Amino acid sequence: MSAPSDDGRGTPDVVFVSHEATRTGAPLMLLYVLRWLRDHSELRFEVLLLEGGAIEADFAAVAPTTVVADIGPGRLDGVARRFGAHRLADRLHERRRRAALAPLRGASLVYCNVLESLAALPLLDPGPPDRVVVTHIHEMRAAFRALAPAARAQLRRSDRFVAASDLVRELAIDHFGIDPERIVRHYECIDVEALHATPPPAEAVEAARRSCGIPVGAPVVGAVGVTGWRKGPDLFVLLADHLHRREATRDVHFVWLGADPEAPETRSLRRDVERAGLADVVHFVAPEPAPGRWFALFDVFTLTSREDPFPLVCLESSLLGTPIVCFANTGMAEFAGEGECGFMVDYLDVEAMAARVTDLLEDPDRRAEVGRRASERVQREFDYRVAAPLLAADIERWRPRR
Amino acid sequence: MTSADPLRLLVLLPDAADDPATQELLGVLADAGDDALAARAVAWDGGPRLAALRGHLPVSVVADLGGGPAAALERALLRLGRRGAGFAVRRRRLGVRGAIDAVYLTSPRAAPLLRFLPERARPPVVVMVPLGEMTQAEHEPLSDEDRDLLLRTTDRFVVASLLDRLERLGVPSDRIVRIGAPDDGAGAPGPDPARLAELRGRLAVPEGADVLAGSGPLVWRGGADLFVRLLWMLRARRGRDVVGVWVGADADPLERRQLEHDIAHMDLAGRVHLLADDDADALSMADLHVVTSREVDAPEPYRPAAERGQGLVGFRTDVLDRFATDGAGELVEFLDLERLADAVERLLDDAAARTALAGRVRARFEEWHVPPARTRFLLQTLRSAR
Repeated sequence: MSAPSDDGRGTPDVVFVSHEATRTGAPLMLLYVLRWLRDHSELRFEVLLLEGGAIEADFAAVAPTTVVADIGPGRLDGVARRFGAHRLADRLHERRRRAALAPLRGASLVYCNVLESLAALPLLDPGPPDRVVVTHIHEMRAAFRALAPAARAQLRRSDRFVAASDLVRELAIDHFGIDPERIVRHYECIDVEALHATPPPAEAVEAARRSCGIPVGAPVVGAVGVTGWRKGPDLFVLLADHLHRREATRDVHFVWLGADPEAPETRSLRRDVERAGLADVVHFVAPEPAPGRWFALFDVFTLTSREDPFPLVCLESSLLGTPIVCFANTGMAEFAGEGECGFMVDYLDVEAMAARVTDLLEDPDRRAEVGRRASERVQREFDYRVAAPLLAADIERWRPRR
Repeated sequence: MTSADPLRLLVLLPDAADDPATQELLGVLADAGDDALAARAVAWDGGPRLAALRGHLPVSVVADLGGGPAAALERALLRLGRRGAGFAVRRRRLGVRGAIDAVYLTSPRAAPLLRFLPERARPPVVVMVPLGEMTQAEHEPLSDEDRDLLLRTTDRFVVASLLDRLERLGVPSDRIVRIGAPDDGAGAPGPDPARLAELRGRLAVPEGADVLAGSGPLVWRGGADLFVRLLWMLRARRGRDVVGVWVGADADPLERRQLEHDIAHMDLAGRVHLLADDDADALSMADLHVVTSREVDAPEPYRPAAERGQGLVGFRTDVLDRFATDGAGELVEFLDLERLADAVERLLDDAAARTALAGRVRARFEEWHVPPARTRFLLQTLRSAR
């Protein structure tokens, strides 16, 4: 039996590390898995967040949660810093952080939810000699290249890997040099029941429509994400421009949800939209904690990401019966297929994406049919009640027996 | 007054410092010649270039005005609130007499001198805004009173650049006349054939391939991503062998990496070359120069094409739109890559049209930038301001 922690709760079997607690794919996926584990397993686990965020309290409701960034300086390091002894202050702060995390060191398995979370490993050293490190890879080429050196240096310490899609698994093997025997694929998942239980009220959907000045009956093409390069908002603007120049699709509106209005990228995109004369039909909407009303507004969901392992927003959109159109380079292509649950087009081929969107907008029956298949598949395979047990079984299998 | 009559010009300048404003004026005076100009100048202050200026025209300096009865009379009139009469005395003290066709300010910094002009029957006022002056004005702003006076009184702002800033000050666009920064007119030195051959070899440009050029930093406003997309469209259209060279890709490692990602995935590796400024000679290989910038101002985006005598195509954005009037460039609506590709294809297929376009680009460039054509343009602006 491991030594008890300060509050007497004992050393956990597993520490789940998340790089942050934002309402984004990887933290949400982890939260769903933890909820399932809490309700269906005997596993004792704790959560270590490198940074906090909007769903921090949700993690805390599932398991004891520590936020590394919140372990602030103590009195001693404060004094040291006042006297200009910054190195000493840093060392004291580091010691304080390590002391706070001491109860977690005995965990026999550390699960890092993204590559960036590997930066937590030194804080959990020394661990048991047989400790297993599992890393869930959501990253693709560009994200891997942008990985902080501190996390990159820890990559070789990982014993097992989980890939967010087949595409990510292939990349991890081909480009990151990961042993194929040590990496398995588990698709991302969502909470279908919760989404079904809280459908957006019709008036909320109408309010969303009105807030953008979208006329009743006008088709809406949607996309969701931050406005960074990786998500391809520039390609979304080109898509809108392409469609708006055609008579048949001139009345289509385009909504990008998740655009921080203060972000420089959003401001640049808005200038593009204004210059191109698209300001009336392209709308950049700030992120919302409950974005369902926007999803309900979309007739077609487009994923213009240059890289995306398996975005949850596509599953949420599909659950509502809205077909997706994505580039073939994202993990979502594995879900969409060729007209089964959506459509994929060649990477960066905005014109081909525009053609697919046009087809779907012009054929409501087809749209409904593809959307229905997509919704059924999400309920069948991508609810966390279905997906989490599969991942939990692997975690249980990899955990050292004592 | 006919165009043959000398222009009776009152030049107002902040000082005779050795700065762009004074150099600009000296250049104009030298190019204009005595036949075109009957000018006198008033400077607020002196400076190292005063003697050089006085070699061309009489210059009075406000700071050098002495005392005496005229000064006392002026002070008394101003104290009595008779500003018009007071400033009339001031004009006489500065030697400003007789008819004036136009008032020319070498810089917005000369705005305080506008007070001395007669309010009734005021001659038209033209203000030159040399390159960098508005930036300076933002750091050392005119007083609110002088700024209002400048904006209220000026009939034409002649700007070398930074158009957006001037428009942000609230100057209506019909009062803005665009002129380029002075250029020696020699054009870009053409690389010697050996250097060109070395570049073609290094970049593996196939024999007979069309070459498109673009330039600028690899940042969002530079629009290099749109240049790459244009290349991709052209190659996809009919398998056309087109090579793109983009010069200015020195820094910005992140943007470069992102662009290289797109280039690789569009299967354009080896067909689009991101080159540093050191390889600007590569621009001379181009059949056409393409401007896909989102925001363009300084340095002028048409300059590489004009200096090299190349045709210019691009998006219709502020500066470029003004430059390309009367056919000095083929422009399409912003972001309309399909039309841009149409224009490029048409020109690549028509060597005569390409040459004619290049000629018009060059002529406009000379009009805007190269003395004495530039001075002729400026004098024309002064005459037409009446």
